[in-house]
This record gives sequence, C-alpha cells and structure tokens, in this order.
Amino acid sequence: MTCETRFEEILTSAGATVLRVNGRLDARSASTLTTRCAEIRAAGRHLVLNLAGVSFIASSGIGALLALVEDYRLARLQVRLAAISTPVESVLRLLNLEPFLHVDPSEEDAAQALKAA
Amino acid sequence: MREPLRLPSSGPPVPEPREGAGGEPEAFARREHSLRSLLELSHELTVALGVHETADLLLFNLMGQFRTPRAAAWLFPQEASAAQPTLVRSHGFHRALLDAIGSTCTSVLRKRFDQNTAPALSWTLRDAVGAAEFELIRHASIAVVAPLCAREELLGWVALGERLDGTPYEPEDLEVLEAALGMVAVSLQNVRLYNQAREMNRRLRASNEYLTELDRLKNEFLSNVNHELRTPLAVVIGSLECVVTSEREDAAVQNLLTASLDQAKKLGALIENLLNFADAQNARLSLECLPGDAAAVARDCYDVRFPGVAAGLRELVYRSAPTLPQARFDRARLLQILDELIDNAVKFTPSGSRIEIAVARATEDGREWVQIEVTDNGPGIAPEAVRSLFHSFEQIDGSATRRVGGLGMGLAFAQRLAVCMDARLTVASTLGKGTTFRLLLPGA
Repeated sequence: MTCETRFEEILTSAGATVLRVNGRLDARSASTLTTRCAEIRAAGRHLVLNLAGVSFIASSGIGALLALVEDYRLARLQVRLAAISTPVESVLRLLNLEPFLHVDPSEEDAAQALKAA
Repeated sequence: MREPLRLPSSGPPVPEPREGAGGEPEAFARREHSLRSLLELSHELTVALGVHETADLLLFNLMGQFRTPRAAAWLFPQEASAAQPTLVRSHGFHRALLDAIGSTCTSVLRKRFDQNTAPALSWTLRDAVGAAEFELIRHASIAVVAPLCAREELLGWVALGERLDGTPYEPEDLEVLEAALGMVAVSLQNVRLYNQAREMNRRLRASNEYLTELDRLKNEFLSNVNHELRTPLAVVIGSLECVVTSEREDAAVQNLLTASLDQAKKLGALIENLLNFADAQNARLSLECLPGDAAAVARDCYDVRFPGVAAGLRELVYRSAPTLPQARFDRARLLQILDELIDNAVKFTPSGSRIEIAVARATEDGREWVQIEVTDNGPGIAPEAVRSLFHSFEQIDGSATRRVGGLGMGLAFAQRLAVCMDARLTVASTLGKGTTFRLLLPGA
C-alpha cells in the first residue's frame, strides 16, 4: 500500500515558514521532509512544523525530526512543532522526547513563541 | 602543515556508563518500539536501491530508535577496500569534526572491527586511539561507533551521538544496533553487487558491439583480399592451361606444368570458397531455391564422392526412404553442404571407418522436412568442442602440429548456406561412438 505524504508551505511575517505535513511520516517521507526543511533553513527562516495531519510516525520520522532540530540549532535557527496529532504525541511521550522538542498547541502559539524568543 | 582544528562545543562530553532508569511497563513499551523500528528497517530495505538512500534510511531509523539527534555513516569506496572510508551521510554532527575523525581514526577502527564486530562505546576506544583523537570523539559527542559488516567484509561504520535524555546505551541497545547494522550491511553489499552486475553487463554489451564491428571488418577484409588474389591467379591458371594443352612433347616439363596447374586450381577453389563465405556472411550470396528431389542430389553426391572416400579405406554408404516429398533447395549449394559434411567425416575419422548418407522424411515444429543425415562411427567430438563447431576459422585442434588441415570455415560456411536456404544444420556427437550431422530441408 502506498500513501503519499503531502507538504504545504506557508510563509509568515515573523521570519518563519510553516510547513504542514499530512499523511505518514516514515522512511520514504522523512527524506523529503529533511530536504524541504533544509531549503527553508538555507533561506535563514525559522520553521514551524504543523503535524496535525500526521496519521503515523515511524522511527525514521522521529529520527528526521531530531536531525532537523539539531541542524537548525547549529544554524542558530529554531524549529517548533505545532498541533501534533495523537499518534505523534503518543510516540513522543513514549520516547520521552517532549522535553527536548518545542511543542505548541497551534501554529499561532508557535509563531508567538518565535516572536518572544 | 594542517591548521589546528578548532573544537566547537556541540554538546556535553560523552557520559560514562551508568544505570538505566524507568519502570517495567515503560521498558516493555520501548522494547516494542525497538522491534517495530527493526521491522520498519527490514521492510524499507526491500525497496531501497541506492547507497545514499539506504544510509539515510538507516540513520533516521537509528536516531528515532535510540533518541539521538546525531548520526553519521562512513563507507569504504568499492574499488579500493584499503582506502579511507568516505563520509556518506551525517546529521547533527559538525562536519569538520567528522572529517578529522575519519582521517585520524580509520586504522584504529578498522583494527578494532576486524577483531570484533560488536558495536564499541566510544569511551572504550580511549586507550586504542590517541589522546588527541579521543578528544575529537568527545567533542563530536559520539557515544557509539559500530561496524557495517557483511559476509566477513567491513563495508564501513556508523557513529551515533549521545541520547537526548543522557541515558547510556545499554547492552540490549547494542544488540539491537548490531542486528540493524547486520541487515543494512547485507543490503548495502547487495546494492554494490547489483551495481557491479549492471556495470559488467554494460561493459559486456559494449564489448559485444565492438566484436560485431570487428567481425564485419573481418568479412570486408576477406572479401577485398580474395578479389585481389583471384585476379592474378586467373592469369596464372590460364597461362598454364595454354602451355599444358600445347603441342610440345617435353614430358618432364609437361608433368611439372600439370602439377603446377593442379595446385593453382586448388588454390583457386580455396579462394572461391573464401569469397562465397564472405558473401554468405554479408548475406550477399545468390541462391536459387526450387522444388526438387533432395534424395537424387544426395545420391549424385554419393556417386561422386564414393571413389575418393573408398580410396582412404573408409566405407561410404547411401540409403534413402522409398518415398519422399519434394524439398526446396539450391542444388549447387546443397551439393556444397554435403561435400563439406563428407569432407569433414573423412578428415576426422581413421581409415576403416563407416560414413553413411541417409535421406528420410521428417516432421519438426509442425513442418514437413526432408532430412539428410551424414553419420560416421569415428572418435566423436567432445561436448565443449561441439559448441564451437560451427564457429568460423576455428579448428578443434588449432595447434601448429595438428593432423588435419583446412581454414576451419567449412562447417561455418555450410551452416550459413543452410540458413540461406531456410534449412537447418545441426550436429550430435558421442565420444567414442561417432558423429551425426543432420540437415533439414524445407518441404516444397
């Protein structure tokens, strides 16, 4: 079975880009995600990842999120996760990753947090 | 001299091992997560085809599984296993640090993984690598280095950063890591073999095209050379014929001239055959295939050849089915083929052998044929020689001291003629028992 993962990019005024992810975040979509995010990072923009539409997250998806956060940190930029879906939330909780990732209830909250930073 | 490397502070130093924390339900849930990660990895490896794609898959999977934001993979180049490994992918590490580690720690890591294929916690490498190199590893925040080994071949290695929550890699984690890397290493090796096979295939195709072109040039050359030889030879033969048929009665000179004429004619026939062969190879041979009685042609051939074959104390036998259908063939070319088959039988059988020409009706592939078999009870042909029997310019005994002469083109030419007539020429042979050439002529 193949489920295509869709990415929707929105520019915001606060020097950040919102990327909405819909579908599965697994080995195949993880590479696409990191490529898209690398382009946004190269443009010097912060990133808000809206994961409300993620129906499943695999280890590769988690790995890609961690790599993103670290790569942005090295570039002195921020990544914030917004409106994470229940499947994503349960995996982050199981792996005890929530303290290490910036998670916000909504895109607006994430944008506010970026402004405040 | 290389400039001293500035060490960026990409995280706290690698912690010494300590006891893990967490209750039993949490431990079970994490174990399940590990198993699911391995399953995901094995599933994705079935579709990953490229080296970099596989490295991405592996690193993201390990990072998610072991909760580390840093991972990197080095692979040895395929063409030189002794060379430095190449950093193919890295996430979260400072690239300069990894490059420095790759160039300074290769020999130590190679030695370690040649002796022991288990993953190595970085602090256990402290004594093996120098103090400066260990500082590089600490500053890069590498917690584990593990080999990618498949079928006793070290393909490269993987480095994982320390975990986000600071917990150490437990023995169970290293077991899972070893299992994951084992799967990926076999997959990477398969990717390499697959790529190697494709490259070999490409080279073979190129070689084949080159050889086909050489074959075409050879035929062109043969055709040109034959024309050049035939013209002066025709003059020589004509002159000798004039002298031989003149009124002079000097017997000794006549004998010499007759011998010279015979040899010149033989040479002429050989060149004619070469020309025909070149024409057949270039599909320029002119044929006139008409319905006719193949048995009558075979009988004619038998009659002509019988004296010569019998002179060599070989028995030549002819037999034919009582009623046969008409076949479609070119009479002159059919005689050439039969001549060649009988020549071949005579050449490769000792005196006292039996050679049989048998004509019969045959049905093959739903078609009606007239079959002419030339069978001898000679020493037979080895199976590996049978395969190249119809190859041009190839003699079973190609040595300079071989017993049988010839250019090695007779059977190849015969088969080419058969193909031009829409006929089929095949061979079956048993060592010690003899050989049968089978010519199938299409029904008219």
